[in-house]
Amino acid sequence: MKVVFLAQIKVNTGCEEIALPLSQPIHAAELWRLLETKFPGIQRYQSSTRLAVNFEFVNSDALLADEDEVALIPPVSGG
Amino acid sequence: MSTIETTLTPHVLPPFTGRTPDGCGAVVEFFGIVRSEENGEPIAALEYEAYEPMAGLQMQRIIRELQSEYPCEVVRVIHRIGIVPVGEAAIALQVVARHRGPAFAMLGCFMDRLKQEVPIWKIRALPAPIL
Repeated sequence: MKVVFLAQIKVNTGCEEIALPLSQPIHAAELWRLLETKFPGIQRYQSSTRLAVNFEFVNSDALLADEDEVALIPPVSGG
Repeated sequence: MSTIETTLTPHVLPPFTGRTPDGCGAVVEFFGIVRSEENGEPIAALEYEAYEPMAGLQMQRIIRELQSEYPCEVVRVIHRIGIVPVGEAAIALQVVARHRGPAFAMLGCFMDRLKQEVPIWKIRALPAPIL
């Protein structure tokens, strides 16, 4: 899985994306747990962050697969 | 067949050009300009970031959804990314429709949804120089 970090989350992680190999699909909660092990403190963004899978917003119970591009979308502020 | 164009660019936004389609009597344009203060503090510029592949798709999706209620012939959106100085446009929107009602409604509803659903961020404000 490719995980993309944006805006303040990118500042927090210090990188734009990581590869996260998966042997089986996982739910969002597990993704956050995995990310927390790599980027301690990142879970504080969980409640305000939406997930996008392959460029579409998904619900928090969506299954995430190894071939997916998953983006962590903090509250937007365009315009 | 209506026209939908969405663009992200680091460059100064150009004026809209092009011929108004036959039968259209309303052309509504909006330019969102960077103000000289942010959260009460004077600034020189705002910096924008986008998740580019999704931002374009999301803008097109919103426009298509709104078109079922507010039919328009042309919707063009250009959003700037990178540093945008005070006084310059961060976003420009042009809507062309047969009548002004759908055109104004499309513009207002699109801007509301953009600010909720399109992955673009003001990532920082550059402070104004102290004289």
